[in-house]
Amino acid sequence: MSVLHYRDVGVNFGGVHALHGVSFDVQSGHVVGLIGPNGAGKTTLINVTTGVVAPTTGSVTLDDMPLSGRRQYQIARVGVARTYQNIRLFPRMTAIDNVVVGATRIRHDPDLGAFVFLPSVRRARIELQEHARYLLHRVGVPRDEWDTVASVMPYGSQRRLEIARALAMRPRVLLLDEPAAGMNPAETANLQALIRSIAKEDVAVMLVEHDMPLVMGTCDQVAVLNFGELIATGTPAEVSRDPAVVEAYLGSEALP
Amino acid sequence: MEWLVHFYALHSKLIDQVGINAIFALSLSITLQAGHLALANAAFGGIAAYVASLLSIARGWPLSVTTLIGAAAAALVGAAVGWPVTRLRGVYLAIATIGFGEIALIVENNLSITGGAEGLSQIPNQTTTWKIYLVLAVLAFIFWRLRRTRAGWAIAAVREDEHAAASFGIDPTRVKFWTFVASAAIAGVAGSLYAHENFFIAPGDWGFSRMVDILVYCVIGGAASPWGAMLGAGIISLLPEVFRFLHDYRDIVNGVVLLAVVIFAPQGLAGLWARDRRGRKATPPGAAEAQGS
Repeated sequence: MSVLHYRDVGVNFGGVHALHGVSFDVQSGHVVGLIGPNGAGKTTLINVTTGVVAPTTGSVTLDDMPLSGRRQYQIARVGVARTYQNIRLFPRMTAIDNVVVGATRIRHDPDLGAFVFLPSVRRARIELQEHARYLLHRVGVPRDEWDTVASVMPYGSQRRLEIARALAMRPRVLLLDEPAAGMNPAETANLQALIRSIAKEDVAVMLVEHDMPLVMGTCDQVAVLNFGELIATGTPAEVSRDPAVVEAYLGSEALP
Repeated sequence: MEWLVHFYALHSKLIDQVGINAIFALSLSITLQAGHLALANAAFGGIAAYVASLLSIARGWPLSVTTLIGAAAAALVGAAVGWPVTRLRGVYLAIATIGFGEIALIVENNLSITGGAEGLSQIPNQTTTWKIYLVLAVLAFIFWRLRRTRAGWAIAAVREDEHAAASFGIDPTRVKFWTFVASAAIAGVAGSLYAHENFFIAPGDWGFSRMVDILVYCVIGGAASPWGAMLGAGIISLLPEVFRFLHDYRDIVNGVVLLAVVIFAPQGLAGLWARDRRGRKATPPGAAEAQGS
């Protein structure tokens, strides 16, 4: 049971307040939706969590461990995984190899083992590839694309591959940055089931998404950002009734 | 068999050169595999060549010992230089390492211990063909197995996308630093073998034109593949000999061949082979066009 805490997180880019005084928690086993208009600071919050951007004020902690101030690769090593809004796969690697790189954190095969043909290293490699195939199957990448170089895969498969690669890390925290972008309704429905099943494995999931039905149908909690400030948190039902949210984000129209 | 002995007697010098050039190519290939363009391999070869030669002239130590010490010296200098410069990216790293190469040349030209511009002579001729190819075989084995290690995966991931690699727990700075140091050490081995092959070394042996030669081996063979690097070194070293019958025109033909490879196989010769292999697996329609873009 671990919890990701945001406490009074603020980020200034020059004079611009990208984030200001953001505080909320993401519990393992829960999916927290992070919504807000374009430029509200959603991706900035993911970048703060993963160490790409250092917070100007406040802190991010995973249980009692401060994440802010650590380097990107260090934060990854404690089990914070992410996907990218602008897909960032390893373009010339196959789908399976992309997932194998994702598993870097949990690999323990000795580096010198491969030079002396250690059987355990060989077994570890086969297990890694097996696990990669299982994950590709789980996220729904078609079997005939598993040995395809990532850069030529269809867009939807690339999005799913990003999730498989993140899962390979056995993350404690998973940050999904617009995973449904470009997906059709059937694919989005599959994604919803996938995200729920990931959370069930005791992962704290944060979902940044513009697809409102997906957010409302998937999340236990929703946090709403507007101009870098948290204007509401609560269950999907609470948030969708919140007048400030309706005003700032959804306009005057009611939710579907 | 007799034919082989005759052939070797006639071409042993060339065969040795091919091997040494292949080691130089491997030294550059490891930094290219990690996706960074560092152009100081010739300089590191030179540093090791001077250190090893001075030791074998003064002390008469065997080649294996002097080469190891020379390579260690190159690696040490590589670590000192690499610490700051591997934090640079792309063309800035290339410029900084070229700059370092020029500094090394100036130092070698002006120190008395290196013989200045006149160079070092009477280096014991200890390099033999089997020693070169033993080293090459060991390195090829290491490069082959490296791909199966976590370090090898980290190198490939950093080449593909440094930022994404970091978000999976790989420290890109560390990868770039250690590949740079390894590159310096391997270049050092090649430099020492070269020195003990040729009796004589001078600063001019380690200048920018040699660096360009090494880069051409890797580009022609396939930048990110150790097999490509060795293949490229072999072909580029042999081409002038193959075209010897063309006399004055051979440099032109040489140039045409290089241009043709760059135009028709931009991924290098190893890239042609890899593309063919991938083609046989079910490549989705449109893949070829997408790859070309």
